[in-house]
Amino acid sequence: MNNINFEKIINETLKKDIDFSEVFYENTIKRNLIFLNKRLDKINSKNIEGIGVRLIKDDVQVHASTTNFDEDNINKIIKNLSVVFKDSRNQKSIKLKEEKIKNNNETLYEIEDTEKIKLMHHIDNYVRKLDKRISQVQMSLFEETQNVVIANSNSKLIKDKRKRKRLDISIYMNDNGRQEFSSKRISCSGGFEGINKNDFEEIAQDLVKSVQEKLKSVPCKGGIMPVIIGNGFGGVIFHEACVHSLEATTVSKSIGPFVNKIGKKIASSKVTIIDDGNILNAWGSTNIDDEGNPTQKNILIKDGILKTYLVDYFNSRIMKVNPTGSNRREDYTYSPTSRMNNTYLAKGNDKISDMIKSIDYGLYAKEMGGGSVDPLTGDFNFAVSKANIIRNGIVCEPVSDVCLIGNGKEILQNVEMVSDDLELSAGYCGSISGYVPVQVGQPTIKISNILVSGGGEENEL
Amino acid sequence: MNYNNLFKKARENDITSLQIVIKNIENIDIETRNGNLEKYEIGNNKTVVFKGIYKNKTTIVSQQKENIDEDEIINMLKINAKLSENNDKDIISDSKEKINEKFLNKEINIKNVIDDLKTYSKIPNKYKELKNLTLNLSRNISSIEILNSNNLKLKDEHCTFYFGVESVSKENDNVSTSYDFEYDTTYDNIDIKNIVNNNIKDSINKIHQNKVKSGKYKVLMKNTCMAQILYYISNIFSADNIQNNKSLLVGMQNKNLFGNKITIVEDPTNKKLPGKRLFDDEGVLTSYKEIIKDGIFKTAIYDSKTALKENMKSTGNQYGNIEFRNMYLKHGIFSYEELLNNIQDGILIDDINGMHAGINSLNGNITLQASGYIIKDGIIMDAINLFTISTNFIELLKSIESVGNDLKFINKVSGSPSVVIKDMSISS
Repeated sequence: MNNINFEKIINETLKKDIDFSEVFYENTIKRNLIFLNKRLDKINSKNIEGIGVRLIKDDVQVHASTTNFDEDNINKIIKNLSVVFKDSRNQKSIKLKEEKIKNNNETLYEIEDTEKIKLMHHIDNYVRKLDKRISQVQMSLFEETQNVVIANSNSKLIKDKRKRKRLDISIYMNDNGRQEFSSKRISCSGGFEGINKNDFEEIAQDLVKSVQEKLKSVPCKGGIMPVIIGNGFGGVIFHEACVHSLEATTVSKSIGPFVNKIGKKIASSKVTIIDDGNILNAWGSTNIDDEGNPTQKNILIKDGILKTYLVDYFNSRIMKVNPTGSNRREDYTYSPTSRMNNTYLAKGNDKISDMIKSIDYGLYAKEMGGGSVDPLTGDFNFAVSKANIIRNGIVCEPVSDVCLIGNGKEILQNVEMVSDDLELSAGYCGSISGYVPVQVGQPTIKISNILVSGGGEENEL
Repeated sequence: MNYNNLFKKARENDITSLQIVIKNIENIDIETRNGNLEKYEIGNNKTVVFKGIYKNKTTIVSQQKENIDEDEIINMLKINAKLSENNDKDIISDSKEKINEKFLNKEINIKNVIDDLKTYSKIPNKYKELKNLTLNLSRNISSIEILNSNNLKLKDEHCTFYFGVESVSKENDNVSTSYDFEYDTTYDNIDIKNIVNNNIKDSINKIHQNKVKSGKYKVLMKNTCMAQILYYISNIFSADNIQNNKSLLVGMQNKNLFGNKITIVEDPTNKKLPGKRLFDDEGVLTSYKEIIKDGIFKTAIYDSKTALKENMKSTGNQYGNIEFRNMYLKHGIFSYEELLNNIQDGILIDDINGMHAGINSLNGNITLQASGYIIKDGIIMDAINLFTISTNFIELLKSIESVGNDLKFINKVSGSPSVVIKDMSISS
């Protein structure tokens, strides 16, 4: 970073008639220890160092990225980028002033690589004793340290360091030719204490039970029915069905199911949805967003009423609202835009046992896989990785290959019951500014009706 | 960076084999919406991947940066090798081939392209329901150079243009979207006007979408949808997954699994296709190969390490992971219109979603959200949406009764023609 003159770059951009310019520098170290076949099988390590330059004029935003910091190259990039703008008549120049930020994500300790490998051996040995049918155990311990420097034409210079870790554990079983697997992801921002605090043996037992159940599962007969969705990663339903359509990326285009709905009731009164970039040591947390604004807790929907969108600086100018500290990008090669951090449905008061008793025929989706949404229409889909049929208020046989589909506007109205067992779970979210680490979460909920896919015939008792 | 110096330092530090892969990606991305410029992005980024063999262990370090420190690389290679517990034999290429390929016809006039896209993204007055028309044009120039301590020197360059269109139509509370795209190696070959016009009509036709009754249907699956399924399930063919019991094809080589209408090939040397590569990231020359022939699973895809485990040669498929380039379902003789005309009662599926979570490469089960149209007596009728398809990859291919001749690629990995499937389970 020492050979980058941020101030000079910003002043070079100001030779053009623009409203705003920014330089985003990144130096990131990523490392992934992959454990497979009872051994540390592979190590991937990568160092990324590059800059992104962004210019804004009115409602046009342009961006360039490079790994080459030579002054000639950067000037050439700015010149190529600025073909869409006129020369400035009143060329300004600025002096950058560094702003200090508060580090909200603690690091208590780290451990040596040899200790990490020992931990993975311990988990592998423990798991394989739990069921003879286990054909493979895979673990991946990913760590990332991202150092960023953001400078902009508002004279701001700001630096941040983000540390993240993630341990993925997958267990595969083969039972007379039928193969199933289950996975669990543990994640944090900050030090290794965020990984180590977990009870790995309990996690292993839950994973093995999950695969054992999947091996007994039968195809599900599809149809519209009430569904209970389990806590934790079940929150992907709101991430996809609702909050993508609340990102300014979509809303600023004036198309989308929730455009012009601030202050209106768009969901059941049981629904309060929050996106919070400040949760201490959470996987999706950062001190500042990727344009240097502090992250914050954004109450998006309260008791069913839409309160705010997620807004970045560029779209805030179009929408004439304040930014919400939500601007994110996968890395310097992307132009940032409004994205989620840690998004969850707030706790309620209902009991899970009451949810189950209330259903004559329906589904208990205990674990969700991923999903996707068309944010312009609100149509979404989710894979369910573990589910059971509910009959006459009793949880019955496990079912496989289930998918839930619907429309975001409808699903929000159909949230009938919300429990209090809130959990958050890590993942990645893909959109136009790349893949960013996020958390999704919720307590266990009941949806009064949703379309459940399935290729099966009526399930036999 | 002085690569000769690095090879020398590697030898001095007991790294007996060293391979360096230098990739440069130069991209331009232009987007216009409703006649206005929305996005203009340029990128020029270099990544170098170092693979070494240190005390019989493979070790890899990659750097996406310009200023690379040789000592740091040597140090990291040794640290990673010492930690690794994988003693599987590995080699680097000892090929004597020399390739230095450059791509022609990659230049475009940015201002002209922006003007073109602005013009074509203006909403025509006659389409009152059309609210948003977004056009995107990307040019991606990727170059790769491989050097190794066996004096390998290979260089290749490829350029692809991607054109995408998204139209959004609305009437009262009904909103519909339609997407279409085209890949080509030459900008002038892309018929922007035609693609845009067809896309607008499609999104307007889809404003009023109906439900379809659950059941089994004959399905005309559009080429892009079939290509997406192939893309998302393609890792079942990776030797790495098969050898590690993570694929549904474990123990299935040379078995007739897929029905005799199915031949799936890989053609990485084809310069007209988006995934062209003359050699993989290990410097192994690529080649045309039949993965499935007349329903029989012929070969997995290998890199050097996985090939050595089975005493065979690499198939030239190492690209960071073991992957395909230009893999496709071999096209048949029927035009799309012929496929359509031969369906009396069925469904056209022209959009699918949820592939990253709804396709299980361990057991082949596929459960996806879909949309499309009802087909009656060979004619496209009402638009339908929000239904799911449930099938299994092996069953899906076995039940293909006709294969079209409209091969289309969705990315550098996979393509497909449209196909007619005898029956498929639909839920709604």
